[in-house]
Amino acid sequence: MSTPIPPAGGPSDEELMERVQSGDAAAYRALFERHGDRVFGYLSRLSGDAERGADLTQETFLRVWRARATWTPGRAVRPWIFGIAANAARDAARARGRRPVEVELSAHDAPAGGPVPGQARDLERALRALPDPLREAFLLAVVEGLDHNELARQLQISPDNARARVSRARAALRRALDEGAP
Amino acid sequence: MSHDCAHVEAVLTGEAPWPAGEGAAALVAGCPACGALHAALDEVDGLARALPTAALPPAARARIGAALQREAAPRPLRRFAAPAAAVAAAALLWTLQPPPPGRAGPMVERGAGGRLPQVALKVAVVGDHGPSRHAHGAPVPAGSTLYFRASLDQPAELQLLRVDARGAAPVGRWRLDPGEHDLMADGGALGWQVEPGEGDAVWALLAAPADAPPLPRLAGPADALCAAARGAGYACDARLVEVQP
Repeated sequence: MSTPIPPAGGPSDEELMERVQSGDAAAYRALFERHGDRVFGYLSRLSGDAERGADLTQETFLRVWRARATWTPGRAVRPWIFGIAANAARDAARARGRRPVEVELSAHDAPAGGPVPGQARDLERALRALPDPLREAFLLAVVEGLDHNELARQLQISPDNARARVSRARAALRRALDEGAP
Repeated sequence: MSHDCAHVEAVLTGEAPWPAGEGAAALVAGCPACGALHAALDEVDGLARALPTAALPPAARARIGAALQREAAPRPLRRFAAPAAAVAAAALLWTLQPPPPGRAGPMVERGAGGRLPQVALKVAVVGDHGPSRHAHGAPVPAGSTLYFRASLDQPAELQLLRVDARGAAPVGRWRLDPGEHDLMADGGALGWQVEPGEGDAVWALLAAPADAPPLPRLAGPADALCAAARGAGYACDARLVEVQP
C-alpha cells in the first residue's frame, strides 16, 4: 500500500485542510494533487469503471470544498476524504437505481510494467463480484488502510460490524481465488 | 482440547463476532488449521495491496482541476468596496437593540444557557435605497450587500457559516471578547454581495467556549441547524436570507 505523504518540509494534510477551511484555493488544489490518484483508484475499483471513477473523483473533491466546514482540526484528513468518496459512490449508485456496472479495467488502466498477472486479475474479478458493502469496506480497510474505527465512522456502522464486513469480504475473496486456481 | 476450530473459523471469516481485546495471533495459537486459514486470508490482503493502481488520466486530471478551481473561486464574497455603505451599515447595526431574552422567531434559534455564550447575529442590507435592517420574510434584491454584527456575553470563538442547498460553507472565524462587534475581513467590514440567481441561504453564527467539541455536520433550515449545533455544545443564532428571484 502506498499512502501519500507530504514532501519533506511540506505542509501536512491537516495543515492544508485548515487552510482550505479558510478558503485557500491553492491548499485545496494541493490536497487534490496529493490524494486524487488514490481516490481515483479506489473509486474506479469500487465502481468497476475508470470513467465513472474519474467523475466520482471530481464529485468527491467538490464535496470536500463544500463540506470543509464540517472537518474538525485534529481529525485525520485522509480517512475523511475517503469517507466522502464512499458517500459519493453510494449516492451515485442509488441515483442509478442499481449496483455499479461491472466493467473490467482495460489494459491501459494498469500502470506501466506489463499485463495484470493472473492472480491479480482473478482478484479484480472477485472484488467486482462482492456485494457493494463488502467491497467498499474491504477496499477502504485493506487497500486504503483505514482502521476499524475509522472505517466504522466513515460507513456509519459499528466497529464490530466494520470488522465483520472486512472479514467476510476477505473470506469470499479467498474462496473465489481458490476456486479459480488451476 | 478446548480449542474450538469451528468458532475460530467463524470469527476469522466474519461470521462470529471478534472476541474483545483478542488479536489474531492469540486466536489461532495452538491450532495449525486455524493458523493456516489465517495465513491464507492474510495473503488476500497482501494481494489486494499489490494490485496495480491507475493514476488519473491527464485529461480527467485537467478537467477536475478546472472544476475545482471554479468551485473555489471566491465569486460571491466581496470584500468591503464601498466605505460609505459599510459605515452606514455599521451605524445601523449599532442602533439595533439585542432581541429580548427568549424571543426567538421561527428562523432564529438562540444559544443554550449555562456556560455557553449567548450569541446574536444581526444582518444589515445595503441596497439601492441605502442601509436597512434585514427583516424576516423580506427577500433581499440581487446587488445588495449583507453586513454582519455579532453580540456576545463572554469571550468565544465564532464561526459564520453560509448554508444553502449545496451544504455549509465557512465564511469566517473570529475570536472575540464580550460586546458588539462588526464581523471584519482583511481589515474591512465583511460584506457579502448577493448576486443574481443566488439562492436562499441560512446564515449561522456559531459560538463556542474554548473547550468546545468538534463542530458537527450542519445542514437544513435555520431552526434544525441551530438545534443540531446546540446539541453539539455550540451556541447558535441563524437567520434565513431569501433572495429576490
